Amino acid sequence: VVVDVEGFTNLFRREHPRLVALGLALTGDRESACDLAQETLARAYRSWERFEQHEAPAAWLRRVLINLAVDEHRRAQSEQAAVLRAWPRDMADGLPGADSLPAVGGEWWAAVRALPGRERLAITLFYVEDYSVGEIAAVMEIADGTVRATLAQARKKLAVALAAQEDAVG
Amino acid sequence: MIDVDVRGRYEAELLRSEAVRIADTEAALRSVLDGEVVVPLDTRRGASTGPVLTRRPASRRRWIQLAAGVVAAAAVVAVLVARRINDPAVVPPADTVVTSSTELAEPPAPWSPELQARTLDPPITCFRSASATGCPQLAVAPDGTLVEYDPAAATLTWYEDEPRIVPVTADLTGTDFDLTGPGYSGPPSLMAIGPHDVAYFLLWSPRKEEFVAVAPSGAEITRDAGPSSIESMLMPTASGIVAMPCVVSKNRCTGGSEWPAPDAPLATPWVDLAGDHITDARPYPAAKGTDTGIEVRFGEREWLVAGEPWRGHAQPQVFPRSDGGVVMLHDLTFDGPRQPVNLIELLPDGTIERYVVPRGTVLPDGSIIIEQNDELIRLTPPT
Repeated sequence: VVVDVEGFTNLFRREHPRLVALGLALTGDRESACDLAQETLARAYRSWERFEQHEAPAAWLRRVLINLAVDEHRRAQSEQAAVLRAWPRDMADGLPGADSLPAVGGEWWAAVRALPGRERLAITLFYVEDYSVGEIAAVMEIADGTVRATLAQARKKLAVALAAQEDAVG
Repeated sequence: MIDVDVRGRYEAELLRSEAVRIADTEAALRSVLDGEVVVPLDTRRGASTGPVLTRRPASRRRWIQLAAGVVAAAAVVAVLVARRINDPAVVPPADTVVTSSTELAEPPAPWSPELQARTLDPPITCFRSASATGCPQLAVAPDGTLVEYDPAAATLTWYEDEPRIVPVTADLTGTDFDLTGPGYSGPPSLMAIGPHDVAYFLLWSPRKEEFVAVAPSGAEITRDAGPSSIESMLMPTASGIVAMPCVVSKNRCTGGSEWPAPDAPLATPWVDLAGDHITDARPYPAAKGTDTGIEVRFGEREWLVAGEPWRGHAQPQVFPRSDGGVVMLHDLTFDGPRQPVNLIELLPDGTIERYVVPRGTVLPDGSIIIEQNDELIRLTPPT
């Protein structure tokens, strides 16, 4: 594989911290987040020629990371419980749940993790990546309108969940 | 009623800051480039169980208006992504700080066309995305040397005749901060370079902040708790950095009509290398709003910027020029860090020149370094 090292280096330095952030939001684990980001970019490196031709390389990176996170969690689950879970309906359904929270913003991420998979992923991309509806749609490979509806639903649920958290704290 | 958007963006900022802190980008890059086996995803490690907190983090902002401050200083806990850690770039001497190499053909908005726009040599680039501004943190030393702080590499680069990179050994992680989880702190911000080339960092959190004075060697000298009111604006004075309380309303930090306010508490004093409190012998500019405009004083000189309003939230920032003049940045809209502000040059002969520029880092020669298209460039008023 012919790799434009300078181009890849620039890509790596630009994207690595952001991918770590996304990994942190998805997995709640620092080491996993760093592993996911590195492995994602390594895959781009190993398939550089194809990666460079990609129309939406940023979206590709995020899809890879999300799928890796799903795979990792699924493997961990299966090992721990010795039970192979049902195959998720979409790529977000296999992500870690509310028992795996980032070290920062625990309450917020607990509420996010309680959302259904698609809503959880859309909200994460919206805030952590600050992505537009179109960008989220590109990553999740769904329609813009679906993203809007998903975000609206997720926000409503988050408002309720966060209000309940506040009430509980008093 | 919970504002999900505000909370979400706030928590995302914290998360991105944490990611920048833990991401060892250069080591990961080397691993991939060297063909090492990428760290395998540990399938044996169970999901971590971060603590669910019982307290809701306050959604407060640290308002930063500080001379020689951070590019895009109004950003809240901006995610700071390391720029290249290549061989250090050669930047000309301190009196010129950064010289030009390439004149931009057609300076685009939003700055006044009479300003000369030049790229820096070597270029200093930023990382920009919809979610983050990754421009380096800049400050100016008392002798005019440009200083860059790279939070990811924890280094200070002094752009002297030959760039000098100093590892910061002072602990700027703020691990004792009780925030939204263990070990979290906002990214340290380089706030100023004081007398004796001591660098002053602000560790910020919604509840607490600390100022850390760092010697030119990179070692910690002192650590201060900072002002009791986080909702304040910071400004350097002869005694140190003062914090002027303000009232936050509608995304604005509204203070009094005098900079610095006579009763502004000291947030952190200037210190010498032994940690003793000192007073800077150099004069610092001050500004005051009046019915006719803004009065600016700097040493023995005074100017009246007639007709320039002082509208509560639109307090000007004043910076000393090396020739005895003053540069005033005045944001009349406070619509955010990306909005143009008035650049008013108060020259020693009494002349007042007005321009419009994006926010940036003011240099002692009256020029300003701004971010443009993911790169830092320098805008210089005509002579």
